[in-house]
Amino acid sequence: MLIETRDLWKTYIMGSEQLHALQGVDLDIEQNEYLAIMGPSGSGKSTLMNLIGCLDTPTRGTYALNNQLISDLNDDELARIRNKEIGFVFQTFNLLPRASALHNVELPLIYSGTDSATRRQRAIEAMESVDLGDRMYHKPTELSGGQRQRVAVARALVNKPSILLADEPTGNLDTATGQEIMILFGELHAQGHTVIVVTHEQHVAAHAERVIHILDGKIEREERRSKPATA
Amino acid sequence: MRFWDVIVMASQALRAHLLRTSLTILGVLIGVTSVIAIVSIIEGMNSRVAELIDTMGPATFTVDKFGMITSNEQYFEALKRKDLTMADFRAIRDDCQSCDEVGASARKREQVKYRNEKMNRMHVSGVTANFTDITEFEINEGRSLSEFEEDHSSQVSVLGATVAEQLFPLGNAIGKKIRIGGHKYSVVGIAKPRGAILGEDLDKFVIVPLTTLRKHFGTSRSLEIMVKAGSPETIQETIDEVRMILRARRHVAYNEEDDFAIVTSDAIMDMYNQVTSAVRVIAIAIPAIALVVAGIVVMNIMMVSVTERTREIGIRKSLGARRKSILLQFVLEALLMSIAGGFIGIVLGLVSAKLLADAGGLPFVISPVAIVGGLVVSTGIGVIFGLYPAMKGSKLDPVDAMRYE
Repeated sequence: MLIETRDLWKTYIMGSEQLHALQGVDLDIEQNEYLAIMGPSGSGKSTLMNLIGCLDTPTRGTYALNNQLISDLNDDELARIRNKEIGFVFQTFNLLPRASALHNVELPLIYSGTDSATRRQRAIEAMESVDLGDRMYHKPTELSGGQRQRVAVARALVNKPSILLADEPTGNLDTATGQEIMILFGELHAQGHTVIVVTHEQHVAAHAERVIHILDGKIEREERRSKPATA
Repeated sequence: MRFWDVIVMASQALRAHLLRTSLTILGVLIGVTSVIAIVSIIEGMNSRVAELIDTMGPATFTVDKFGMITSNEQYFEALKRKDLTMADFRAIRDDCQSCDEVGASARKREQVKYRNEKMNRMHVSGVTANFTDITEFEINEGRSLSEFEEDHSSQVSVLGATVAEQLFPLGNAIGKKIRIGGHKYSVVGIAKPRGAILGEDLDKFVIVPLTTLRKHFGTSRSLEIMVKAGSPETIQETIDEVRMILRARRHVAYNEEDDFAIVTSDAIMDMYNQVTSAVRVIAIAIPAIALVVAGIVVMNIMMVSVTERTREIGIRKSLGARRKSILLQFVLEALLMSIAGGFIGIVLGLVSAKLLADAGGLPFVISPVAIVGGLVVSTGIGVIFGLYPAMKGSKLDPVDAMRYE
């Protein structure tokens, strides 16, 4: 099992009130799944994504990634997991605006201590795999929204992570460009990547094989599709 | 994460805000420049003073009516003392066993004139002929005074370099007759230039035989007796012997203090250090405040930088940057700025010290203490004042940081 969560709780203290963002989530995700986590805003899906992405730790319960217990790791160990195991794609792209596209893609390799020749080589390969071989030295501001998101995908893939974790990846894109990105995800899944997409849009979730519906911090229902939408 | 990568990232971030970076560097630079300049000038002055005091020679001391006076009270007290006379001088010269060489001198201010060139109120020193053996006095041209001239009160003189230059701009001073306070003297030698200290020219003097000075300008003034001990190690014994001779001659009771003063080169150096120590503290303290301000500038800019780049920190953390990596990046940014300021400051400080030294007639000393100090202080500023903002940045929560607009 790639991901295994048991009775996962996340509680925020807001003044004197406790806000339960997650209330006992049990979720198993296997290698090479294409999973969508759906839910309205405030349902707890972003909190769940942060926990799966090792950006945050649960208040209660356990989370194991590749059979390694994540829930009680410290800051630096979490940073290492994020670096090696997780590739993030964000709604707002989250590229460093002053750095070239190539440097943005190199960042995870910089933090893993890869030497500069290998780093350059792998970053170029990642850029080419998302068809941006001719845009490597452009700044993010010189790229279109779709191109920026593809830079982000290249960055997410460059360290060969276990999971590609996308948070509303089409949220800031027009429909056509959004569609393009979803096709790219489909291709990556076909190549053997595990893809998890967090979204509130039905047509985005429609690309996944399995959809988890979250409501009020709990898994409300789950659906499986034998043949997901392709376009 | 490799160290070189952090340096590259830090310098890229600094280049992205060139104006801000330059202003911060300027802040450090001003502080370091002023400290380096002042320390260098003080060291130059010290080495100059030490050099001058050394011309007295380590085994030599003088006996004087006043000694080193630092207050009005001391002055009026010393004024009551008996003058040091030729008889005192002869007693020491004839009776002192441990003395190697004993000489005497007296000073007066007189007009010195050659044809139409006049110099008013010049220091005219009357000395015994052996003074060149006692002090480190050196002749550049011609010769010094002879014992024969001393014995016969000859009207001969040795000129300080500045006096020679002014009276004889074309050279050829030797053998010429000058007038000192109306009396004719031939020039037999010119002294080696000694330079200036704090703008005071040390080559404005004329030396004549003591006997001649007394003949022309009177015998009423107190003498300064110069004594050279056998060696620097035995100087204290010689001082004691000279004191015994003088106390006996001058009838100083056993429970009274000396009615004369002994001045050694060490005592002059101590005096100099004592008088200037307060000035030195202030002279260094004021630019040190500039350094503290520079530190605050660095810290302020780094705080702004960390806040402004909260989102960047979040992104970097989401990609696997550890606390240490973020900390290192921001500390290095502060460090690069302060070291840049330090380096430029050292260069500018030394240049301004050189200019000031030249203007003030002081030697220019490249002080290793100042350079090492400048580097250490500027590095320290970077680390100390960069650390807090960097720690703040490194502790940011990645989720919150990425949400920051």
